[in-house]
Amino acid sequence: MSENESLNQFKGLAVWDDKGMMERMLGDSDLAKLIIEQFLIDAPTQIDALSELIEKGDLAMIKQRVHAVKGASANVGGEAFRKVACAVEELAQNQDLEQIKILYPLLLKNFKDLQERLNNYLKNQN
Amino acid sequence: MKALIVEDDLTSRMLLQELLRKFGNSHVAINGAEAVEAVKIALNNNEPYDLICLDIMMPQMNGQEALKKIRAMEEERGILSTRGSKIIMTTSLADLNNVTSAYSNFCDAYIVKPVHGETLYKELEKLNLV
Repeated sequence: MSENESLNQFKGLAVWDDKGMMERMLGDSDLAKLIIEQFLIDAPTQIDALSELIEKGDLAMIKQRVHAVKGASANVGGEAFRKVACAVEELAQNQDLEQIKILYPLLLKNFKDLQERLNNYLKNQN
Repeated sequence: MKALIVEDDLTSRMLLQELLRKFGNSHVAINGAEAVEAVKIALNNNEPYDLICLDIMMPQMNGQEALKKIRAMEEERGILSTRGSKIIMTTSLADLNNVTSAYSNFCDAYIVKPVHGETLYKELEKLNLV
């Protein structure tokens, strides 16, 4: 797959599915806030660790780490990030470090976008 | 309800803890090996878990392996899987192999992440836990 093809498949996804998240949390905004806060504390560390693993080319650990952060992002409704994380997990399974490196900047961008949306939500809540 | 949440991801662990809080406090384990140890202690004290929420993809020991070991420990003590802890797999792995393997090893339910509060509560009702 070319670089453009690889990146195009992730266009148009929601950065944050706030409605879906609230539904899953049964409309409990306190719970949603708690989970978002936890995600914002924990996920950056996971992303840093993932960057190091990609640098090292440790595919087994990349798979494990990206799987965990994918689960965490799914909880908060980070759709665009989750989809790319899902693809990175599959690429790690298929031992395709080259494609992972192509997708990684998009993963980071989607993470930053999600962080921004969630931080804005928390600001408006306070 | 005595519950054990087995989950390596902090956010997912916290979500399950909060959703289950109204039924009592839950214990947590961060991988399959810790879960097996927690279940062993509970069984030895004759205070088994009513519910175990078990992720699959975790470091050290995965959830499928932990499930087998937990059911084996129950069997060693003469507890049939139908009378043992209710085990709900909570995982983002939705492929047929994982689902089939989990049911073959006597899980009671399988929830694909992200966990929806309503889905979890419905499963607890079906399993007569609430």
